[in-house]
Amino acid sequence: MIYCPKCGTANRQGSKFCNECGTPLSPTGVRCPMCGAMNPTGNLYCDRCNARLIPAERVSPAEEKPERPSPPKGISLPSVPLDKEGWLSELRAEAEELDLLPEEEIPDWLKGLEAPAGPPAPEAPPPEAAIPEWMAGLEAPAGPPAPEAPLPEAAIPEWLAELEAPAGPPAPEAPLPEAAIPEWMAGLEAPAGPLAPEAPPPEAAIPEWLAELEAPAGPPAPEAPPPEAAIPEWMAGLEAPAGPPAPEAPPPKAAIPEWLAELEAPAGPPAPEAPPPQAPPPEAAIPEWLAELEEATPEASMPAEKPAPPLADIPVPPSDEIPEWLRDVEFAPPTREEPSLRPPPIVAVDVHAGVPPVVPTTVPPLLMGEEELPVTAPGEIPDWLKEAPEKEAPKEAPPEFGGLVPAEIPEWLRALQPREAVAVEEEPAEMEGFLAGLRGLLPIGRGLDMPATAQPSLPRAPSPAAVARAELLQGLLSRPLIIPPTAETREAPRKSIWLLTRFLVGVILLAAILLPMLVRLPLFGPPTAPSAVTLFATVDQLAENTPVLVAWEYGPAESEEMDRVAGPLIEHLLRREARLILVSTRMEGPAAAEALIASRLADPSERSRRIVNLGYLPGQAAGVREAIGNLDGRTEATTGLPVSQIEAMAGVHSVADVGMVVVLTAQPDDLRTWVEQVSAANPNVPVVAGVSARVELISTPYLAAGQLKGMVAGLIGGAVYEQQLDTGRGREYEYYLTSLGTAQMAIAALTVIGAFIFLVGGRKR
Amino acid sequence: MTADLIGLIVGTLLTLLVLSYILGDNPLYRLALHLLVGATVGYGVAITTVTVLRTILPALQSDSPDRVRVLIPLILGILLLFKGFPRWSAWGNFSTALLVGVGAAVALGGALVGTIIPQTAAVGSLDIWLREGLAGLINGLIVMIGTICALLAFAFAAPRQPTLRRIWNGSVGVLGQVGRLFLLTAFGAAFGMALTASLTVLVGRVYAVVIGVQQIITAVGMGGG
Repeated sequence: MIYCPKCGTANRQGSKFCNECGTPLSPTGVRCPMCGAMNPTGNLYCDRCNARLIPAERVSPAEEKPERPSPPKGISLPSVPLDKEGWLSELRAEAEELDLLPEEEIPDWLKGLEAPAGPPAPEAPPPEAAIPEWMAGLEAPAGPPAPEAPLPEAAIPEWLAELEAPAGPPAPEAPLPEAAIPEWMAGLEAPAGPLAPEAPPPEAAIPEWLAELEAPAGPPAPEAPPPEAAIPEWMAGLEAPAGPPAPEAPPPKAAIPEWLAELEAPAGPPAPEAPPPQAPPPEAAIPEWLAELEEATPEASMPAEKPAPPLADIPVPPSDEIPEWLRDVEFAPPTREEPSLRPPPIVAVDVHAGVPPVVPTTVPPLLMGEEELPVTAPGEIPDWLKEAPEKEAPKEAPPEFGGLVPAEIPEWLRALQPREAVAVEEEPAEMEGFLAGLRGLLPIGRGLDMPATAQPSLPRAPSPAAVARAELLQGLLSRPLIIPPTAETREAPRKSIWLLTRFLVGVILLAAILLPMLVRLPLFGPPTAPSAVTLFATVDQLAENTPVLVAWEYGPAESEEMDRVAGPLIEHLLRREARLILVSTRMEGPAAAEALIASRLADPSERSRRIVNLGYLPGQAAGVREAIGNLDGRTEATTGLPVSQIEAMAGVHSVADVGMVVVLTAQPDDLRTWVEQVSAANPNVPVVAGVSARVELISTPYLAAGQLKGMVAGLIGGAVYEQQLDTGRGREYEYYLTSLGTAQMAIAALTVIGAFIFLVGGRKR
Repeated sequence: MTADLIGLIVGTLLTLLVLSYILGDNPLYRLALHLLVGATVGYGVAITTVTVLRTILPALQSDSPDRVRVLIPLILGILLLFKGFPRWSAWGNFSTALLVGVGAAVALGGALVGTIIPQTAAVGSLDIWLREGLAGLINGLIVMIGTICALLAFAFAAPRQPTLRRIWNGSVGVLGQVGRLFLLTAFGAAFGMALTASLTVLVGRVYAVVIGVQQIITAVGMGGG
C-alpha cells in the first residue's frame, strides 16, 4: 500500500495518483545505486544487477545510533539505516586518526589526498601569494565586472569588490563612503550569501549589523597565516590546469577574507601546515549527508566536473611509505557485504594510479586488496577501473511502469515467444477503377501464385515413444470386444419376458373367447336383468304410432357392444309402430343409427314414415336443451328436408310431444345430460336407457330414483331383452355371453396367478 | 367382389392390426390407429360442416323471421373464428362468453333439477325403499349410509379444541374410513364394469373376424369355383 502524503489515503501498490485527492504518488522502492533500477522495498540486492542495495550491518553496541526522521507517508525507504554497521564512522575515525599524525610522518602526497577527505578549513585562509591563478579564475565568473570600488584599497580588494557588486544594488556613480551605506542596502547584502559577512571591511566602516552577522558565520581566523613557501608543490600542480586563466590580478595576500577560504577549500587542498582546528563532526552528523545521498538520484550524484589535477604532477610515493593503517582501511578487499555506496567525503584513491577521487556511487570496486593491487604506472588507469564503467554503461535503464521494473524473461519462456510475423509481400497497386492506387484490396494474385501441388514432407523416423504408443493402441484394438452390460442390455431379458407374458395373456383370452364357438359350455345359467324386463314392459305399453325421441350417443367404437344392447330395444319400438326421431350429440352417432336401423327395419319403404334422423346436435347440454325444445325446426340428416315436411314428425314440436325418450349411450356424461335436460324441460316424459356395461353403475341411481323407467345395460341386458323379445338371435347372444363369461374367468385366473407370482416371486417390478 | 365383401376384408384386416398390440407397440398397430383417428376426424369435420350449412342456408334463403334468428348465431360464430388469431382474438370474447355462460347455466340448471335434487330425495325416500320390500329397505339403508360416509371421507378439516378434535376424529374420522371403503368398492365395481364392456367389444371383434374370414373364404371359394 502507498499512503498519500497529502491526505493519508491508502492506495494500491503501484498507484501513480492518489485515489482520494489525485496527488501524485512517488514510486515506492529502492533505486539501485549501480544500475538505477527500481527495486521493491525490502530487497537487499538489486533484481537487475544483483548489487547490494542496503549496506551490510556492523553492530557496534557502543555506538549510539542516531535517530532518523520517519519517512513521509507514501515513500517507502529502506528500513535499515545505511550506516547501521558503522563502517562510515570507522572510516571517519581512521581519517581523523590520520589527521592527528605528525606532519613529518605524513608524506606530501598523502597530505594532498587527505585534504578533500577532511572537512574544509575555512579558518585557514591561504596566504595571498598562495592563491593561484586558477582560484582567481573561479572567483572571477562569480560576479559581473565590478564597478568602481568605493571602499578603501587597503580594506577591500578589487576582486572582492567585483564579487560583492552583484550582491548589492547597483552602485551609484557617486562614490559613497562606507558609513553612508543605507540600511536597505545592508539588508540586501545580508542574504546575498556568505560573501558579505566574510568581507573584511575596516573596523570603522563595518556597521554593527554586519558585525553581528559575521561573528557566528566564520570561525576565528588563524593568527599566523602560513607562509607562501609552505604550499606544497603538488598543490600548485593541481591548481594549474583546474582554473581558467585569471583575468585579473589576484588580490593581495592580506586582503583574502575568511569566506574566501571556505570557497577555496573544496576546490583545492588546504594547506597541510594548518590542520583544521575544528573538531571532526560528531557521529550524529553522519546521517545528514547520508540522507542527502539517499534523496539524490544517481545522475545527481555523478561525479561533478571538477578539474582534475594532472596525474603527472602528483608525486607517487613509494610503497613503503604507506602506513599500515591506510593499507587496512583503504585497500581492504571488496567483499559482497562491502557496501558499494560510499559517502562523498570519504573517498579512497588508488595511490598508484593517482586517479582523482571519484564519487563512489558510480564506481563499485573502490577498495581492493593489497595483494590484488596491480602495479600501474603513474597516470595509467588500473584494470578494475576500466572494467567498472564497462559493466554499467551498456546497460540502459529499463522502462519503469509505476515504479515496477519488468522482470527478465527466462530462456524457456523466450522460446515460447511468438515469432515475428513474416513480412507480407506487398500487393501490387491497383492500376484502374475505383481502387486505383490502393494496395492489398484484391489479393487474387496470391492465390494464383500458389503451387498446384503441395510439397511432400520428408518422412521422419518415429520416435521410440511414438512406436510404443502405437503398439499399445494396436494391442488394445486387437483385443476381443467386451461390452459392459448397460441398462439397455440388462433390460433386454426382462423385456422379452414381458413380451412373452403379454403374448400368453392374449393367447389365453383368445382361447377363452373362441372356445364356446367350438364347444358348447354349459357354464353359465340364463342371464337375469330386472331393469331390462321393466324396460320391455314399458315399451310394450307404448301406443301405436307414438313418437319416440332416441338419443343415439354412441359410434362405431362402441357399436360392437351397443348394437347388441340397442338392437332388441329398437326392434321392439319398431314392432310397436313407434315413430323414431333420431338425434345425437356425437358426430358419428347418426351414421351408427342408420346402420342399426337398416339392419332392424324389415321394410325399408316405411323408413320415411317411421324414422326421422335429425342428425348431429352441437353444443352438448345447451344443444340438447335447444333440440328438445325445438324438434321441428330442423332438417332431416339423410334427405336434407325440413323435418316439418316428414310424416314421422307429424305433431311433434318439442320433447313434450313425444311418448318416450330413449338414451342409447356408452358414456356416463351423455346419459346424465339427457336425463337432466329432459327432466328440466319436462319431467313427465318417461326416459329409458340402453347403456354400456360401464355406464350401468352410474345409471342405477337414476333407475332407483325413478328418473329412468327402464334400462338395458350391457350384453347381459341385451340378452335378456332379446330373450324377452325373441327375435331369433338368441344363439348369437348365447355365444357372446359364454365367451364373455369365459374371458372374465380367464382374466380372473390370470389376475390371481399374477398376484401370486408377485407375492411369491418378490415385490420387485 | 361386392362392396360388402371389401368392407369385410378391410374390417377384418384392421381388426387384426389393432389386435397386434398384444405383442407390443408396432407399426401395424400404429397404421390402424392412424387410420381410425384420421377417418374419425375427417368424418366429424364433414358432418359438422354439412349440419351447420344445412341448418343455416335454408334459413337465410327464406323470408320468415327465422332469418333473423339464424343471422345472430351466424355473426357470433364468425366472431368466434377470430379466436384463431391472437391479434384479433378479442373479437371472439363475446361469443366465448355466451357459449360458456349459456352452457354453464344450462348444465347447472339441469344438474340441480335432474340429478342433485332427485338423487338427494331418493336417498332418504322411505317410500322408494319399501317399494321392493325388505331388500329394498336394506338397499336403501346401504345407499344412504354409503352416501353419507363417502361424503365424510372428504372431510379433511378438524376443530382445534382437543376435546372437539377427539370427538371429531372418533365420529367423522371413523365414518370417513367407512366411506373410503364404499369408494373403493365403487371404484372396483366401475373397473369391473369397464372391463366387462371392453371384453364385450373384444368378443364382438373376435366373432366378427371369425365370421368375416368364413365369409371371405366362402366368397373367394364361390368366385373361384
